[in-house]
Amino acid sequence: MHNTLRNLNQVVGIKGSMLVTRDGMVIASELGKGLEEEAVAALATSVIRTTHDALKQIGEEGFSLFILTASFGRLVLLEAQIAYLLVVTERTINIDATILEMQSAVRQIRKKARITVKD
Amino acid sequence: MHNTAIRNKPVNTRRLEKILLKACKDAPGPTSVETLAEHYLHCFKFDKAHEALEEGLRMYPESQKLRLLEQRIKRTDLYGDFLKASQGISTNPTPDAYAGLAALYRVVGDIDKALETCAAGLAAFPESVRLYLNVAELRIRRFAKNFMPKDAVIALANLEKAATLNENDYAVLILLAEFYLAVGASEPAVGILKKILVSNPSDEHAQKLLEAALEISRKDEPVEDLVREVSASRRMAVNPEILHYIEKCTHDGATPQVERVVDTESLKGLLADALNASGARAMLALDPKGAIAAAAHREDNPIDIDSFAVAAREIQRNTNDYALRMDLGSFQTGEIEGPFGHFLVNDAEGWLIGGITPATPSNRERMRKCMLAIAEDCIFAAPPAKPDEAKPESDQGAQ
Repeated sequence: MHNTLRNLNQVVGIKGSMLVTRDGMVIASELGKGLEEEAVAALATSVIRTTHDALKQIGEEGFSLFILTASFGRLVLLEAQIAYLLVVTERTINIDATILEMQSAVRQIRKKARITVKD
Repeated sequence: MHNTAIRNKPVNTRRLEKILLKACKDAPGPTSVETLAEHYLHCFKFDKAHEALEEGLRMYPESQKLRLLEQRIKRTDLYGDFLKASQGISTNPTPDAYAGLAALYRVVGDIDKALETCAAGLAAFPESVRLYLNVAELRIRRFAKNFMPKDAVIALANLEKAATLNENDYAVLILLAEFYLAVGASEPAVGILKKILVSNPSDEHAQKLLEAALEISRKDEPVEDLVREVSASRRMAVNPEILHYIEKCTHDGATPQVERVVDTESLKGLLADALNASGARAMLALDPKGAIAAAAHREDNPIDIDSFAVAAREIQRNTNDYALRMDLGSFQTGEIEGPFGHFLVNDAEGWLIGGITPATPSNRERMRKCMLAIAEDCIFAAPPAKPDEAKPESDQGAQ
């Protein structure tokens, strides 16, 4: 998992990434300088919970992707079966192109998770 | 409409200019100004482009489109200076060379790059007072706009470091005193101001600040706690008018947010148009107080608008709090994708525009464009509220 996150962090504009469960448990973390693991995990839990609650409001359930764009950066959450992949990026990146790299990382994580479960 | 006309048949540039000028009169807004300025740039009429953009920014200071165009023009104008400054760092790296490049990034509004440049300069020259001061000024500028606690803490750390490197640097000491005062830390502010007044007893500004500092009831809390309080209330601990040096840091192109009188009828019309153009199931606009200002939805695929409004508000509020804590800045947009489709929320000067579309990537892209157009042409283009419209209660009280 760490290798997958490290490779993802090589993509231009990505500041750090983390694999976190819905209840805030960190599975793997490769956050860059200035990003605190506990704070990011707390944010992830809150965003996941808020988003699920908000979707329930409109009679829908579950989400596969969340992109938060703020004035100085972006935060992306992708559902990766066992957990959520959280990625912090710079504000100026082309998000649609970078998401393809993130989705590729999610596929690798899902594959690894399946192998681990079979073992 | 004009863009379609331009695509379909060749139009000479003078005629096109007339069409675009007429469009600015008939349908005023950031989009028409941007199109006109772009046309002038295309025709190499740089002075006219500057003029149109300047006028546009005066009328629509919050327009993202116009700000981006301004940044692009400034970057082009300053290309030679950027090249010279970068070469200066490679051939003769000095703290001033790094500070010069950082100042250029600051002019074009790229604060992240300016901070990166200062950090690179400090790695090479860890004793440079000027670079510490530059970092502090950049962080203060961001703090005054977004109230992120991390910016304030880093600004203070850099100012304190600069003050230890040069105990007599007036620019550092006065900014440090003002910033302590801004977050309500009166004790350290008093200490620094007394020091300034010992070396220059006739400094009227320092005297005023000292008076203000002595008026604040002394608090024993750590500065970090005071910073958090100021961040939570999004208001400086003292009257910002006396903070002259902080004012200077924050006034590079930053514009104060104004309350606007948005025409809800035209907002309804734009939402209905956007609903058709983007294939959305529902769209809504919430005013800065969170009330539904306008909404549109498909009859064949209904969504409860009240629930939709609650969902949009909750997403904006919660994620904004955490984004500020994480040094990401304030919420601008949120996009959620799931089996249901796409759920988008866009913040425009406190107004929230939300939309739900069926699940295809092109729908999301269309929705993004529609929401941006609504923000630009309806909210940013709306006239500012008169003082008595903006704050009726306080004004009546004052009268």
